[in-house]
Amino acid sequence: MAVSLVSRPEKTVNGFLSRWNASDLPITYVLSNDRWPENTGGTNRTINSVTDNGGYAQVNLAVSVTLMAKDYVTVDAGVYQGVFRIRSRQSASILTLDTAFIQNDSGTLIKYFNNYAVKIYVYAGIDSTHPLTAQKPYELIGTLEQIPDSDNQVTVDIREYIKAQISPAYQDSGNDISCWCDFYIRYSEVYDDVNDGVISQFESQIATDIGEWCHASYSALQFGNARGGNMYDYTGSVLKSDLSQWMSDFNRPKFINYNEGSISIIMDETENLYGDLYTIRTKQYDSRGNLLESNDIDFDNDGYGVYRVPIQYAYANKDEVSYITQQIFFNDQEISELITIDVDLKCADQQFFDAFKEVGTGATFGGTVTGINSAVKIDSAHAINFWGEAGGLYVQMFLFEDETVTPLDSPLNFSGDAGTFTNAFKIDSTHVQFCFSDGSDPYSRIFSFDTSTGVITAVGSATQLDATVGNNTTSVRGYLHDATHSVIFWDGGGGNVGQAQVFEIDVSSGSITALDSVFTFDAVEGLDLSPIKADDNTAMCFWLETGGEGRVQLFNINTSTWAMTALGSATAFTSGANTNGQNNALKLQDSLAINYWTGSGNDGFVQLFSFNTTTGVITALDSALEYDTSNGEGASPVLYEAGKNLTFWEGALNDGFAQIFTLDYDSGEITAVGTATEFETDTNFYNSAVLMTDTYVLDFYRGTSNVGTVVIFKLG
Amino acid sequence: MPTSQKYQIQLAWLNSTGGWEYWNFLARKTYGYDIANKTTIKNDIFQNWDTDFIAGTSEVNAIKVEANEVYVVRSQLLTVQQMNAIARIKLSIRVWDVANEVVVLVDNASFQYRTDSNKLNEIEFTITYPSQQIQSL
Repeated sequence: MAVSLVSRPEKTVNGFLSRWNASDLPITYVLSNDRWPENTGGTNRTINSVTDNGGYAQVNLAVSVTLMAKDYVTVDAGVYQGVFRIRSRQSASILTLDTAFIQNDSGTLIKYFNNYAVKIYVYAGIDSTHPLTAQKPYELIGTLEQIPDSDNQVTVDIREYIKAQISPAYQDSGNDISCWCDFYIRYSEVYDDVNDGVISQFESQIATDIGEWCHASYSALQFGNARGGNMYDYTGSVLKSDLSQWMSDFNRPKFINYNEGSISIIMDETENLYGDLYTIRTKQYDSRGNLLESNDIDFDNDGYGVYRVPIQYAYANKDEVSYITQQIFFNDQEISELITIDVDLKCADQQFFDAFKEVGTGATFGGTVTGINSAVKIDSAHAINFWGEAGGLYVQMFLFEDETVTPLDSPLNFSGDAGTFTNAFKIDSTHVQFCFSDGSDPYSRIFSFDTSTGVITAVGSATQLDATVGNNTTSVRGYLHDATHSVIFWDGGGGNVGQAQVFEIDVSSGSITALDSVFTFDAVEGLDLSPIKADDNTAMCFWLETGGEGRVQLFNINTSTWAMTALGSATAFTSGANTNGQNNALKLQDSLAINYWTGSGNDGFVQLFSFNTTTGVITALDSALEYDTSNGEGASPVLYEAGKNLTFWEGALNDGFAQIFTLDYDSGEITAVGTATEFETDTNFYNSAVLMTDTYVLDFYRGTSNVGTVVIFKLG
Repeated sequence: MPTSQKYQIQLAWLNSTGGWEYWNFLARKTYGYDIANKTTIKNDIFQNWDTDFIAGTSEVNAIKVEANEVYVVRSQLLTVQQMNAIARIKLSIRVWDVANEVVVLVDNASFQYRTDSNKLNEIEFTITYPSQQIQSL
């Protein structure tokens, strides 16, 4: 190899090889060659004599050479010294130089590489080994030719080329690829070559340094920096013996209004090998320095890069916290310095308090829970939950006080099927109604309860809503339309047909009496139902139609005859096979509802819908938010204040997740606040959440080892 | 200068190492327009002398205006260390108005930001928003 790489822009500090460079300081490669200006790679040829050839000096060599006319040679003889062009070639060992004959002489000559340069190809982008390579793959940014110095070396600064791949854009979290790139060079040598008397530029085979790529961050270190232009001090790695500094001029940043905020740091490629998560360890302190809380929060490892690490903060200590500390760990090894961040809450706005955390002492219930939970709030201190087990359906009351949940009395067992999409709703201060299936047909039943003892009693017998043969009912859900009427939707009619009917309820006898006739709203299929009361004369229902698409429609209720009729036509809010299931809707205000569902790939979706109970028109607002791209099943939302939902769902790996969503009632835009909280890391199925007070939410679910579990969350 | 959350503007700026810095400036702001250029034409009222002169409806018309909205941003009282860090916003090539999600320019005037032993520090500078879109003749 005539050209070789002497050094690349990297620096070894304390045994750690750092290849991160500041893009606004020289980023240099040094290359060496053995041809020019000193031809140390060639062989000197002996000149036996110099004779006169028509007035020109003709050198007679001791050996044959391949040099041709128009080539150049460096002659080291007595009177002939310097670089000469070959005028003509008489034979393989006799050449005539383009210089006047002076006298006979002897010495040596060697080829001179005319118009010699080292050619460098600069590539920048993101290396193919990086998970984000597709967003900024390597590109040839430019080439440059450098003429070596007298020591046969060239030093090239490629920073201006690299900047073509760095254009900083604001980003407050994650791997900010706008602010960094990888780069490498390929290199060759070029010089004049003579072929059949024609001079052309020859380029050697191009060598590559792609396997030893380096990185540049959008940085400009200051004059006198101990590492020169190397970003070692700001690079985090488990392989370093010292901790990375944060990329901030503040020694103690201060966040006054927690709208957004991040601290930047470089994560090195060595972490990428582990494919694991980084952890931010955040500790919250009060003004006296007392530790209030310590949290380890995982964040995605999107390969090496410049990371914007969000300020992590558990809002529930908002009244007390004075400052927080934050440090990054990888596989339990600290890799960043500890940074202290002041938090001034006096100026924080309401958005700051859109938060929640698990608190207090929850409870377990049931045996081996297999079915869906249907929880209903009785008062601020009591909730009732229905659930399924192999032995049938169960119901129990739970006391909530002093951030503690206590099951009251013992569970009441009654017949039914554990796999039904059920729901329960409160009728009055001492009664609830529950809708369920026995595995074949839809049923509903009234229960009385006593909050002083926790005793729940079935009133009367269960009412079969549809006795058609072959119902195969899987969804039975309803709501209380007025004090003495409930509206129930189910799939039946002899085979999962969408049906609905108004029932008169009598809490004293437990009777549930069908009014008018059964209304078929979907003659093909009406599964995974979620009905809500749109207004005093209108019901609204979301359901899964045959083929897997989501449908929603309004239904008029004649409060004289209690007949149900279609209002407008059904609106498809999803399209395509398996794009809908497990609907769960809430009415937000007049003419506005929200529905959560499980869509393609079991991902979680949510969307706002405006409706007109006069025209029957339903409009899906904005676009559906895919709030969980991995898994979003059985979402259970609570509306804790206008425009804000706290929602629980079964996420990836059957773990439990919760998140706040802010709802713009005008535009329909739904925004997920922060990142989802994984509150259950073992098992989570069939969440059913109830808002107990302005600040407390209970979530019932099937937890670890299929044990019924209820946990407490505090808002704000 | 009075300070309050209602006056706040949160700015983020790239520091020299490539990290984003944040600060909420809480003192009252001042709002204005920077009129970079205004092209006008003067009507020839001699052609219809002296009717146009007497009617006097228009002698000069603007046919093009170039303007930017500018805010004078002021900080609350700062510690020395905070002032040292925040002052470097003037050196940043990229400043971001977080709430409005737009890049703004900080004025390029030289400035003094601190005096030794002074414990009450404030900073004030002007930020310029993207050009106003104005119809032209």
